[in-house]
Amino acid sequence: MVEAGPWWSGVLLPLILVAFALAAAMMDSSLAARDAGGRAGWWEPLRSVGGLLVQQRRRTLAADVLLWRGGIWALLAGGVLASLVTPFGRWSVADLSIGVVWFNAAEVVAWAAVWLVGWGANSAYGLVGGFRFVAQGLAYELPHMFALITAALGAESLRVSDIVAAQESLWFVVWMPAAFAVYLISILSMAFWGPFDQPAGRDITGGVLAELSGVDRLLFSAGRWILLVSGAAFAVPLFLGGGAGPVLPEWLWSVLKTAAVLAFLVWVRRRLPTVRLERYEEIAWMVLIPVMLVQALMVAVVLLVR
Amino acid sequence: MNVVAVLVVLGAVVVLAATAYAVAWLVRLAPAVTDRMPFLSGHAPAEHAVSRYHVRWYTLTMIFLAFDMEMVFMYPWTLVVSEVGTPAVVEMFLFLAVLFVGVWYARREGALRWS
Amino acid sequence: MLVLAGSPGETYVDVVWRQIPVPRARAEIDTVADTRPVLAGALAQLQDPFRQQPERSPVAESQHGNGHNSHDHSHDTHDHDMGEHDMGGHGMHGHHMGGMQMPGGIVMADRAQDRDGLKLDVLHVPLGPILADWPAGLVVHTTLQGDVVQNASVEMFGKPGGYWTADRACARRLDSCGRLLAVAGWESAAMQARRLRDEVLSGRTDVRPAFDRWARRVRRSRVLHWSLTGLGEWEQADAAARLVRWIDQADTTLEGAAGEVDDARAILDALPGLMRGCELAGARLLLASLDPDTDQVIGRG
Repeated sequence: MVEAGPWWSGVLLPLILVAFALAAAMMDSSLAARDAGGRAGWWEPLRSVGGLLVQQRRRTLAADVLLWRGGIWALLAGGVLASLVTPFGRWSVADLSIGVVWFNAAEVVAWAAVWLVGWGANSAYGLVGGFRFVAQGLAYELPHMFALITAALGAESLRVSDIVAAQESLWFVVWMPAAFAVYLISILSMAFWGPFDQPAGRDITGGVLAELSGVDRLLFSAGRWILLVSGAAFAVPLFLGGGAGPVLPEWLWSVLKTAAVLAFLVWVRRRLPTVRLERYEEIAWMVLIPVMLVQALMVAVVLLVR
Repeated sequence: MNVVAVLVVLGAVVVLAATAYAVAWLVRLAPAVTDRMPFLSGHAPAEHAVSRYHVRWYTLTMIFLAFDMEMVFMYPWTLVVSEVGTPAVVEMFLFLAVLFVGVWYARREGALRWS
Repeated sequence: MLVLAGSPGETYVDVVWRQIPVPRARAEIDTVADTRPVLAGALAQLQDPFRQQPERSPVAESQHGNGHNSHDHSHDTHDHDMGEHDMGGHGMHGHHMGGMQMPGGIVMADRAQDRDGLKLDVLHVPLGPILADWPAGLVVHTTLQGDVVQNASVEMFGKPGGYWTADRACARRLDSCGRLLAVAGWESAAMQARRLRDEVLSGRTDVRPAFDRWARRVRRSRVLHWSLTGLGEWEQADAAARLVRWIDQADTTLEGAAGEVDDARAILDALPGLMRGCELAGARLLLASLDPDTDQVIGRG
């Protein structure tokens, strides 16, 4: 059902992700404008892009420029490469036999990237932010991997197209709701977004973002959005049946489902305050992991019985 | 084929990011400044921020590593569950249960809180 | 844009001003009547590319100024910490690097005892005065190991204000709530609180429905409650209890009744003790949940 696209689909991929990211940012700024009682603010991201392009770049004293800027590039590359295996309707850029592991490996680059950006600036706030992200990683990564594995287990394959095919009769979200919920939580944490934005928290003046300006800030923020988009897009083949759906063509279903997941992730940030790391650590280890263990066990038992 | 795909995507990312830098260079209002002091509420830093950071969650990293290694086994395990049958499931979840008892103990010892 | 209302201390302002990348504009507002024209002028400057050219060699100049500042400052905090920690040699150049000149004349972090008896690197991180969602004119000098506050001391400066009188009690409570919610990372609820505050201050009388909606939303938030519970136990109340009390007080004074005023001095005296041992995020939430009215203290000297 899913096949690898032509070589130039690889060129298209970053552009599609950027388009999604821009749309998500526009939704976010509209919601923010509504809260502030202003007029619709959907064009705000475009203004920010322009503003950041003309803004002066700055470098802090004794900054580790290689690590600092390298982190920005790594975040972008990791976020885009994670989507390499995500099918867009009928096509994916590459349908690897270990697609799930690839996604996992690419998105973990964020650990290094965010920490490097925090460390490289030689700023106390950046440092705290960078280490907060690593600590947050300790909390979200295991539940995240369990969620990925549970979906792979349901299809008994690590190939994304097999996972989509296995959902022909029933979407995984129906019989693995906990895995889906945990997956969404881990995506929010990975993009340090929503209730898990402590690495870039307001209490530490932006944390890893604190010393970035101009185009550097633009690209880092873009990387963060792209990570969120990549995560939302991968939820579709994992849990929502990929491009399956009535009437409309498959690629359109992919777009619609991705947009719905993304919209939920953007919206949820406005509903919830930030979860402090210490509390998150506890909930991740004492609630999310046991829940995922039970969920995985359930799926395994179903497999045996079937 | 897959390697080509990876390289094409990576190349596209690099070209896009480089374009952003080039555009920013063309339309910039002022050349980049270097050696700025990091923001510290209007104070000058008393020392360089790069330092040996005291990670109080280091015990947590140890438990994490144990679990992470387990995950490496779990990926291939997913492929053979119905082939091997009940023993595969029993063994895997006994292993996970043992690990989780460890986490429970660590929590009792206060490894999940640090202030 | 850097907007200054009142006088938050010239040296601090200049340091931050030098850190802001171009395009930038500075607006100094002294009286309420000035607000509009000054902001309009700054905005015009911000949008005019020809007035955004870099000034003559700001790098060298700022280097010099900052270098001096840093030394004055490290001595201040240094003296204070000496009593409890063994921090000999902190003010010396290149203590670690065998006399090598470090960039910017700033030393590498030095070690000190932590609460578990380990010797680890310490960073001096002053919080305030120029910090988002922070009380005016307050500086808390903290020493951090990792993200845990080892020690904190309070410093105050500035001119007396005395804006938050008893008959502005409701707006004052909403202001505090807005600050606490912002520090807690709940942008949306913080924004609502601040809008309510502005409406109350401008004398609107029809704010009750909006207030009730906001209050219900904040009171019901489990995540918020869970984040604040157990933080900053002081006078039999933690941060979560104080937030609920603020909302209650804002509720009873919404129709214009006069309310009580907290004793800021007592809060500031208790602050270092409360902050010690807190995680940085916790320390900021804790301070925001006490929200001392610094105007009071400065006014009394």
